[in-house]
Amino acid sequence: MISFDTFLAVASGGLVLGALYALMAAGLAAVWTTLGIFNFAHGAFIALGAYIGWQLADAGGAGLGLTAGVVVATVALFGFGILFHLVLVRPFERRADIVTVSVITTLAGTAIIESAINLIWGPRSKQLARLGTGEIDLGLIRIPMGDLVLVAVVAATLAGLGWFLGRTRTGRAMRAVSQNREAAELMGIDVPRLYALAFGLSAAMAGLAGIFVGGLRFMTPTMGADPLMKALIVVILGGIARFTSPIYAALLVGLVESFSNYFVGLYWTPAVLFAIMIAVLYVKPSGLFGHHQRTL
Amino acid sequence: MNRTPSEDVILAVSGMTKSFGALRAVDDVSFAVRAGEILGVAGPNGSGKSTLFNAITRIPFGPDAGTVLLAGEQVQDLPPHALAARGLARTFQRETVFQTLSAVDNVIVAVEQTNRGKSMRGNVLLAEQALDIVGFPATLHNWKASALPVFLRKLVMIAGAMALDPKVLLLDEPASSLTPDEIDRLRALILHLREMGLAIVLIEHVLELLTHVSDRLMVLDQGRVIALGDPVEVVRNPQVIEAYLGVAA
Repeated sequence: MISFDTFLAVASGGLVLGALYALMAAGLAAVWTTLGIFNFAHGAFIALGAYIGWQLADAGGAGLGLTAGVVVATVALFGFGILFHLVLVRPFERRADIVTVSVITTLAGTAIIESAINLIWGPRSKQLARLGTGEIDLGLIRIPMGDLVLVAVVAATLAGLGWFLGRTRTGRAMRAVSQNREAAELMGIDVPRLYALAFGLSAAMAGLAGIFVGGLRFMTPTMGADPLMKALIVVILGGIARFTSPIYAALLVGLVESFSNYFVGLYWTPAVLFAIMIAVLYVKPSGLFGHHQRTL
Repeated sequence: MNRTPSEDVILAVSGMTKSFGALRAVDDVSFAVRAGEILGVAGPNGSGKSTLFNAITRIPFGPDAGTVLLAGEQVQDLPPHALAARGLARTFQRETVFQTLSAVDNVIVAVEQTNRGKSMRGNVLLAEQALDIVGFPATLHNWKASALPVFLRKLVMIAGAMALDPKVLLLDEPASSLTPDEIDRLRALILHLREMGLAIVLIEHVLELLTHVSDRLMVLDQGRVIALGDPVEVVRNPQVIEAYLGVAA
């Protein structure tokens, strides 16, 4: 079977993955719940964040250190997300078929971003250092400092997002817009500004996620595809009734992936995850933690 | 009903035109409304009444041509939230509210956009005031909008519009799907809002309500204004009768 030590190691690995997926899924859900579209370029945002972070942090780039990389990648992606929305989503937002059109435009955006990364940084894979070095002894288990920092930063980011959505005027307006655009306009809310902001926040979270992914795996221009798939599973599995729903689902997916990797093997794990997702869709179409409909 | 509203025009719309393909949904419509005046808008289904409101407020689309003067300022190119900030509020035929928010939270969302409340406490007070104005029961302030009956949801929507402290209120068929009793209460509310000095443009299918509260009545047919004036005279106008009943029976 599995020894207790191994169990703890696999479980903690699962929690780290879960935290990463939660960050990605929350970003994906920020756009989906607010604008009602699925942003297929979210994975490319993750890649772009990783490369911008590398450019700032790595000795092969500016060599300014990882903290500078995190800050610049997050801020740059925030601006890039707004630009992306202005160019590829906003011109079509009044069309009745915006959901389908945005599939095409965000996929086109993905291709453009990935090609641009290829042209700027080349196809050779790179890797980022991890945020935090060494190991920390938690008594029962020693875990890499990088894992601890990842979980802490994600927790802080999601807590900040929760505070923003629940406690600030703009955040509450954003939750309101996600329910009913006409009601929001009736109440005097500047809807296009909130849409742009949602895209910016979503992309900033993707940029941050990119830095973490770049520290865990090799960076390639298409490095965002797998995380995007996982985030999609998370969003469907968890539902998006509340912004916390994908967080629970992300931890679940992370743990399942980790244990499945151990017991079933790396290549069967995606199949296991999809099988669970489809099984959940049979039994509870609205997701494990709430409704698919765009509510709060 | 020979009220003499104050002479200052708050909202002046002229040459408003909106086409969908070959269909001229709104065709060169002009009207003005003064503070403390109710302008009724009638017309058969598809005559362009709601499209007129949509084109004025740019929710969800603006006009092809035409100007809108709000308190003397040209506003036809402003986005919906900027119009709301300048005092042009509207409601929809369907109760358009945030279903998962409570009645008072719905209205707070609107208050927050105006910066009038200063603090959360101030926002709550202003929202409660707006709900009081429309006669929403104080005991139900914390009920989720989705749990409220249609009439109360409509009151929440109107309170949301009132929370913007508007000069002009465009009401799009507020009486639709209401019971006769509720329509009576709505009538009293609309008259109360006029007493407060609002300029009101009221689209309505319930003709009896419309002729009772309107100071002037405008009738649209196929996007054009076919009559505008004293409600009693307008409903006797042969062109209006024909538009409503088809070619004289």
